[in-house]
Amino acid sequence: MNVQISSTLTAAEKSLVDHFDKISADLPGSGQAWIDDVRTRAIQSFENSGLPHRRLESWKYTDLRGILREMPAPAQNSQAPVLLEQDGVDAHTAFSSVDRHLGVFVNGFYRPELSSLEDIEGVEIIKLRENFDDLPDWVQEKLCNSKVYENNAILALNTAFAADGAALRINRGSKIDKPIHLAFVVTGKEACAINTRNLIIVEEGAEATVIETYVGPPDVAYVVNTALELCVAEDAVFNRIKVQDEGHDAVHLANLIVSLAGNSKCHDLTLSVGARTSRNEGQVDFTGENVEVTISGASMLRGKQQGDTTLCVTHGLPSSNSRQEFKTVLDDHARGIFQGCVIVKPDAQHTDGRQMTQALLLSPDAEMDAKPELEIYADDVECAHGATAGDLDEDYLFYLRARGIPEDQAKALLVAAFVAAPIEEVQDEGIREALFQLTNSWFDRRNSEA
Amino acid sequence: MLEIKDLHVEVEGEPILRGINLEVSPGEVHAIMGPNGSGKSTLSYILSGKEDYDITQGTITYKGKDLLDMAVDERAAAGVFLAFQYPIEIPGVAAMTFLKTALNAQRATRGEEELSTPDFMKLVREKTKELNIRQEMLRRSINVGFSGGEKKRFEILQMALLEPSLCILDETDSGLDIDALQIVAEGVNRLRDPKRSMIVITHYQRLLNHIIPDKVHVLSHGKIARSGGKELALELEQNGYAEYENNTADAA
Ligand SMILES: Nc1ncnc2c1ncn2[C@@H]1O[C@H](COP(=O)(O)OP(=O)(O)O)[C@@H](O)[C@H]1O
Ligand SMILES: [Mg+2]
Repeated sequence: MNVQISSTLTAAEKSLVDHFDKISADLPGSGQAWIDDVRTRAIQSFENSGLPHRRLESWKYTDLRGILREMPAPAQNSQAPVLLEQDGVDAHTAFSSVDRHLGVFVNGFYRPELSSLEDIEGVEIIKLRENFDDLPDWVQEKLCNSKVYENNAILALNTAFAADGAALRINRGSKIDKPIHLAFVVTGKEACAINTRNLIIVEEGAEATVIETYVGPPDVAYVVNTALELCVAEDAVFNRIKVQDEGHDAVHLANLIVSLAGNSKCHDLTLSVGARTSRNEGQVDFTGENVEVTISGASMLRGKQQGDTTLCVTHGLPSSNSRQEFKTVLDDHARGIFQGCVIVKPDAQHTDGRQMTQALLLSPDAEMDAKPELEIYADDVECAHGATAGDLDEDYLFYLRARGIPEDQAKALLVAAFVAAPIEEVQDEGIREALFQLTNSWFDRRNSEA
Repeated sequence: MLEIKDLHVEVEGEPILRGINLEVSPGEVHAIMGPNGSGKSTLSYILSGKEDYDITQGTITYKGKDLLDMAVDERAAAGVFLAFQYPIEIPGVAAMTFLKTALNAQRATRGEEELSTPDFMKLVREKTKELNIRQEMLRRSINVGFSGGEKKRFEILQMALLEPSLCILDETDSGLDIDALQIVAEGVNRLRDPKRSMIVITHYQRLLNHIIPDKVHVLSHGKIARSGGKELALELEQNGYAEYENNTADAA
């Protein structure tokens, strides 16, 4: 494939285009006209835009072009053995006591010998790479949809490069017995770029919970670009829990594209504790009425970490509830970014849209940028948003210490308490405990990771 | 146990305590009474180590050590306990987790072993029963959704679990109805011990019908204006604080 390299691209952008030229023939399904076409158009779209930079409104605070000076080569599918259980608590080990179905991806490639995804009643699971020569229509149709990466260079890159991923279809009316855990693990000492693409279709009346975890080595400058397209049909219930615990030199870029049908319920929680730079971008749309959706999260960052959550929930139809609830804890020189938007279109009467972002700053050098936005074009709606930022409450600290709890332990309790509310709402007790294990130990982990 | 000598305290240049002298021996219960704003809560905060106060003069010796040299949590581990006049709500920290963390932190500081969860639960069940506290309440965040009386009983529960040597009760009676007052007073009396001292701060005499003090002090304008036996409380009940409120000579 020949792609023209424009002279205005940065070194990192040029190497992305170069990498594509080098590896596109090795991508799964290569040679099939439809996917070649999808990938070529995606890389061309990227070439036109380049990496997002601070002059773009939605990337004002995360200047990716400036941050990503070099772009490592795409990860190879090595089948080297990996040690999944690490010392100490990480997002992978925290869930090991949860009774779940497990799918493990190492450096972006599915590893059947580490996984237990076969024969889950009520679920079809397609591993993209394994099945690319014979993808079912429901998968192919979604991968062809170029609309999703319009104005989204990261998603365009993901579309061009994705070498593997999971497509899940929860069959009509099925209630899946246990959570399905997709674990994305990075190993090795070489920096690499990892692109995974996932798809979840929840059919009418089905119910499922999916966990996604991301972990990797602490001092390797790898780049993860992951995307999930999620379609929830009428009357279905879907819960997703994502934990981003990448190594502290990594860049983690994620896109979530959600479409919710009438009377469906969707609860999404992201816990972000890892990566040097992370961006969780989400867009939520409705194809029916009476939907209830919560997009929530907690970010706990320190050192020079930067974490960006950018969300847009668009109410195009009447009578749905949406909630965005985000907590951010920042220590040292960490920087948190929350850009949340609720759009209520003229037809979306009786919408209830709420958005709240709260930050706890543990250091005078930490910074939170919060930009909540409401755009309301319907008159009979209830919408509210709020943003707060503050220090640790001295009176809380005094109360705990006055009972003999040492200062650091008291701070750890208060920090964990600050992020507790969105986690309390997770229905599954085992998952909730795993999340609390991570948030409760965050403050104590600072010396080993900072 | 406790010896306060010539204690002067200011906030932002404003004198609040102006030369307090007080000696409390082991096993004694002292009542500190006085009009609103006389400095009662300030004294209790100084003893427990709250910052934001300037101690401009004086010393406090506790069990032979310089109390003012100790950090808040060190004082607590050494047995100083303040039951707050206004216990604050701390959302997100479960009351039960808090109790267990506090108890084990104090034990750790004293070089004692952690209490196992079953032993801790047994202890909590016993104490909550005595204080008529529903176990269910302890699953909530600290003081969140507690009634005024529940907050005060929760303070006494903490005191009963932590078994301090110096208990300071700051207007624990305020906002309690007569039944709740009875329960709280019984809880306090159960803790009376020849090795334990108490400072009971109150605006009204009625608590002292239940917790009989060895000595009564009247705090006025940041000084102890009078000291006496338990009969002094009754006298104050009859005459009110007018005499102490109008006494502006000290304020100059
Ligand atoms: N942190 C503070 N800042 C400013 N003034 C204070 C502070 N704490 C106490 N004061 C003042 O000190 C005086 C004594 O207050 P306090 O100790 O609460 O009295 P009491 O408990 O006897 O009612 C009051 O005039 C009060 O306004
Ligand atoms: Mg007071």
